[in-house]
Amino acid sequence: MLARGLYRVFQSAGLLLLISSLWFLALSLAPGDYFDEARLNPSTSAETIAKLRDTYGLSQPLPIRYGRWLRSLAHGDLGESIAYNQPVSKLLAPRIRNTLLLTGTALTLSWTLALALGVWAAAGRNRLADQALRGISGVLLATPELVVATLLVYWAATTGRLPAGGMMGEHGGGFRELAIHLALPAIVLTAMAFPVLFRHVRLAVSESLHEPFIRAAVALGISPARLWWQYILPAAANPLLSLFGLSLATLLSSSLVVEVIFGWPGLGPLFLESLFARDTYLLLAAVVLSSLFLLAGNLCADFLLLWNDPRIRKAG
Amino acid sequence: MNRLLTVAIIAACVLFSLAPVFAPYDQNEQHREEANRPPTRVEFRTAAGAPGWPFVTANGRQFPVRLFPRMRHVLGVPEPAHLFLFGTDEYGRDIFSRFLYGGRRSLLAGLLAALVAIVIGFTAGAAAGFKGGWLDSATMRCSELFLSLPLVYLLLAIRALMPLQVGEVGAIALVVAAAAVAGWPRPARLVRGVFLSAKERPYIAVARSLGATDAYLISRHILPQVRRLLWTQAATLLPQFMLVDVTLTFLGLGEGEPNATWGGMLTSLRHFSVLESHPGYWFEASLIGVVLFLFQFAADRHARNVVRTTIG
Repeated sequence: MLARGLYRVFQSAGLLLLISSLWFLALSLAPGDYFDEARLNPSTSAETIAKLRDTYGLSQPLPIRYGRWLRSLAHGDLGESIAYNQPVSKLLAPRIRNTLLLTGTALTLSWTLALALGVWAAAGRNRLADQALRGISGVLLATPELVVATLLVYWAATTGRLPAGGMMGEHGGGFRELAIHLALPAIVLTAMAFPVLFRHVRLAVSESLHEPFIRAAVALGISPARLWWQYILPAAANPLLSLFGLSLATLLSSSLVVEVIFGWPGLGPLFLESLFARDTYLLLAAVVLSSLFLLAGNLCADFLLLWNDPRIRKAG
Repeated sequence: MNRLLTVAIIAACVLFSLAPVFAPYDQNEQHREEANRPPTRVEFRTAAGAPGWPFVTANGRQFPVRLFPRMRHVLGVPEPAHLFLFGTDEYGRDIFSRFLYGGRRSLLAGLLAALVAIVIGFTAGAAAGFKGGWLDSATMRCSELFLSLPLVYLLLAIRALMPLQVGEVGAIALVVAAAAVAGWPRPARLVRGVFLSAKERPYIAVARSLGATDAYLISRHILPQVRRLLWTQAATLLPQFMLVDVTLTFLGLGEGEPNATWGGMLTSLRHFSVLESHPGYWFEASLIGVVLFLFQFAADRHARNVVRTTIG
């Protein structure tokens, strides 16, 4: 089991290296860099720009730049943002916290809802509710959240019931301010993640309900509580644990757009900004960090899978 | 329900693909005196209250709405009256016309993207399933990787390769490139499954023993089995990549002004000036949402029906 776990960790690290290298290559091959715009300014001479590019190491050949970037990454140094003239790590820290707060809330909400409602719908006590939930998830799945989120911002701005964007009120933070600012983006993200999760939970639980060993357990007179917690749910858990990693990817991806729409000061807006400005090191750091989240989430899902399923444990 | 959806989808496709015909004005035509106008009132009753031919009032006079006023135009009113069905934006451009033109471009981008994803997906899936071996495992690992990556980040990575400003062609090429990277894995995996099971069947062995070539086997015996699957996948990919196009233009990474884009129209909803001067703008935004919803909803329903009828 340990060997398998270690193998997965190394695999993830390799993948991280691959992703960051591809991004580095993409950014270096792309036309233009941060100082392109400065060149348009007549009061900045060509020598000044050349010197600036030297200072930030932009004039060196690609392999050397990449080597230097990797070396500093290994030392935990993410480089300097050219646009902000600050260490990247200092810029990213609060952004990461905010993104984690938003996606974490949405992740918790959507999984709680999907698990509760999915199990309830699969148990099949209430046909009407099952039908209704399936209908709702079908509608939510097809709803373009980009448009709905924009309309929500419009609604918030015109009615003033909820803040239309940002994270803090006039008088700074505080739990209440944070909660009302979090409400709209978290609801949109939850609504985006919920239908897929609900369908999978419902399917997995209803499949495990119809397994022969469940019927045998019922025939043996095992109490309903034990039946659910020790037989049905563990058997349904495997595909759902794998889904956890995937749901993280979609959530991270949609959170970028939602953050931009609601002006949530997370990684998303910074990412976009650095892409526009060609602020290479900031952009790379954002890519590496978001990939890190993703891989960490998938790794967690893998370890949970190992913990849950003795068959996988033995095979590994 | 299904028939209603089909009719709505076909109507939307016709309306958008023939945007220059159905739009009363060109997308970039400016009416400087008529900026930020609410929708033009089209009246169907005469002063006496009797129902009559629809007309528009301008400068105290009545102008009838004309059908086919000019070559290749369906609707219009004579000058000095205007026909702004959804009103005008801050440059005096007809929002209804821009909505149609924006739809045409998103539809085009989505169609091209779906086509490219299907072609790549079919080729990769067929090769993997038919040849097997290292090609199969390499294709499958690759598809797993691209399925697990977040789509928006992938999109931005491709975007980073391009110059900051892209034109109409560049913006659509971007959506197509996104489909080439992120759209192919799912069709490829499904096609591979069909090929894997088909190539072990006795009729394939018999055909091969009679001298059938690989190309013949694929086109004659296996392709008919995946055709329906490919259509279903295309139907799911189309709205997905229409939405990608809208998202890109919304984030300011696609085509910029002046041409109409749905993302650009949604962005303007976030400007305070629009809130102030154009309170009805939410309607256009919702309509964009409704169209995108219809395409996606119909595709989902279709996919479920196919699953139900094939599994039984």
